[in-house]
Amino acid sequence: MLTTSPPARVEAATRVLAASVTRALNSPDHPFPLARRVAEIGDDGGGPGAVRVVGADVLAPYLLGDRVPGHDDIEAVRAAVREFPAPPPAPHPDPVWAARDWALVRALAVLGVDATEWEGVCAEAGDGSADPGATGSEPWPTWAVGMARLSTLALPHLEGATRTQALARRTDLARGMARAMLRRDHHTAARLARWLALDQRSAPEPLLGSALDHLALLGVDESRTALEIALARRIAQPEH
Amino acid sequence: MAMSTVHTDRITVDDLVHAGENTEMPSYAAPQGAALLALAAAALLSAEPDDGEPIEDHDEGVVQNLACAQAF
Amino acid sequence: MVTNGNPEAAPHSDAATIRLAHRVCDDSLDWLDRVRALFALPRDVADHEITGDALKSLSELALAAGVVRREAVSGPRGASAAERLLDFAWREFREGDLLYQLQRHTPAATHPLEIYSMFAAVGYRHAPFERLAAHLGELRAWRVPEHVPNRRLAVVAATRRVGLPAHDDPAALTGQTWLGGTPEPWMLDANNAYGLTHTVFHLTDWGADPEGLPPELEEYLHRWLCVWVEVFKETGFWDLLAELLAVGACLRRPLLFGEVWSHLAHAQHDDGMVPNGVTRPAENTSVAFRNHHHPTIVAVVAATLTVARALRPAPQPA
Repeated sequence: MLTTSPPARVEAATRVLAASVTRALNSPDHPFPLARRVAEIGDDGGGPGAVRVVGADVLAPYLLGDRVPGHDDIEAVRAAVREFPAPPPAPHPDPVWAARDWALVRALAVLGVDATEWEGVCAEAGDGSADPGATGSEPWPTWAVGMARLSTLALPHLEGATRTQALARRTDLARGMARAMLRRDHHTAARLARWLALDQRSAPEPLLGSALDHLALLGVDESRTALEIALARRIAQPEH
Repeated sequence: MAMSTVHTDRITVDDLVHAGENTEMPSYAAPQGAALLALAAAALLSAEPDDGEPIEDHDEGVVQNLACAQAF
Repeated sequence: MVTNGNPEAAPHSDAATIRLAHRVCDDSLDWLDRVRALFALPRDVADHEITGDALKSLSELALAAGVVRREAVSGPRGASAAERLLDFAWREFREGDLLYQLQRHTPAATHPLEIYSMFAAVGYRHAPFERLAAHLGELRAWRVPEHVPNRRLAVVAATRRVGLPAHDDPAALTGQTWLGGTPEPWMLDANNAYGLTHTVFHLTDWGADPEGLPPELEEYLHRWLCVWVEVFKETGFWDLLAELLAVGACLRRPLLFGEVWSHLAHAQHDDGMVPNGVTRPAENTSVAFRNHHHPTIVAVVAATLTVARALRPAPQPA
């Protein structure tokens, strides 16, 4: 058990899990036994909660490399979804949960797993090609913060309205990233850098490389920031 | 696990899932932390930068920045 | 004109922006006019012992009033206050004679010419000063002052305003400035930000000549100015925010941040003084003056340029 305070415990578990995923992304030749990592953090330590917070990114070592998840790894995700279900769509649908579960279901589908009927998955996320995260035409500062919140949708396999927006508004992503860096909000900046990384080959952002280096060195002790940076680097320069 | 713990964990997970940007920037964030110093450097304030006026944001970072500048 | 994600997408119409900026400008001019005696130079010290702060404040007052006269978009109240302030400042500089004496006393100093050029731009001239400046401008020494890069541009701009021959290469000097290096936008700090705003002011002659800014710098500012405006709006650093608003109004395709003007208007005190946003002004006006006359002057410049550019939109790109 990492700590006795429940909120601090889940936060700490999230940091541990994020660091695990980061290591896996940075060392593609090592195995990534997700189920074992979650078990090591433990039920009491907030392991399943951390899986829910990290979301589809827990699958990134499988999606972005040659690793294949075991049945127990998938089962660990399924158990976390069951234990921490998305809130019911009524009376108010929650677009963040819906978009994140849309990403999770899609990511699992890429790995050959049909999660549409899983207990706890957001009902609005199960089918349809339109992801529920797209946020319309807000002014850039609030739009960018919304995109940062949905950074787990920034994976190469997830084609949807949010990604279409990210491609259409790359200048605004870069503005949001620069603003977050000036505010010393490294996590938000790294999440926006990750969106920029997604279409870096088709629409290069010249500042991306130095921004990622800057964030990695200034946000050196923030494991969720480090995960976003590792993902951004992996996404911008795929080996396949 | 006790039901209340599960409930608390769910709230925490929900909070983390929704986490957006930091609501406040730290006192040492570049633009704010150097504000007083910059004003003084640009001679926009009198030689005594706060001129007896209390510093608006009471940030330690601002004062420390200024102390550093004076020390060097 | 309104497109997604651009600062122009703020829910403020040009008319609302003009109204706000007009009010901020008039109220600021009122305050400056009311406290103008506080800008007076000391009469009991030798000319060369007058502090740089005192000279600078008075010259900035003249600059703002000169911009009001040049743009001619103020109402009668603001316009007449600006005329009074210009005359007041010119009298304080003894109709140029003080600047002439300062330039004679320290020939290598550039600030007398820089100050004089503010007046020359609106028709106040002093013949002996100009003869001396013409001679100094021909010296090798005049081309190599140990100034920070944006200040070199100030001297070039002053030389141009007075109508003296130019010997510097503005493009090379611009390349030495922070803005000229088109740096990573997250590396801006308040000190470099003042350098950036002044680089734009000198290159465009305080908004009179938007073409003076190289196109690649215009493009750079179109990309990042809104980020800095957003950050300094959040910190409430009104002095610098007003300078950045003025920068937006100096561009070929001006960026007028209507929504931000409502924040600045809200920060302005009832008596018209615009606080710097960093230190808390004293109740006593003559004490508050020392730290808060500058943001009030900047507000006049920014508001005047904003109104002018909102009324007369961008010249067509070449």
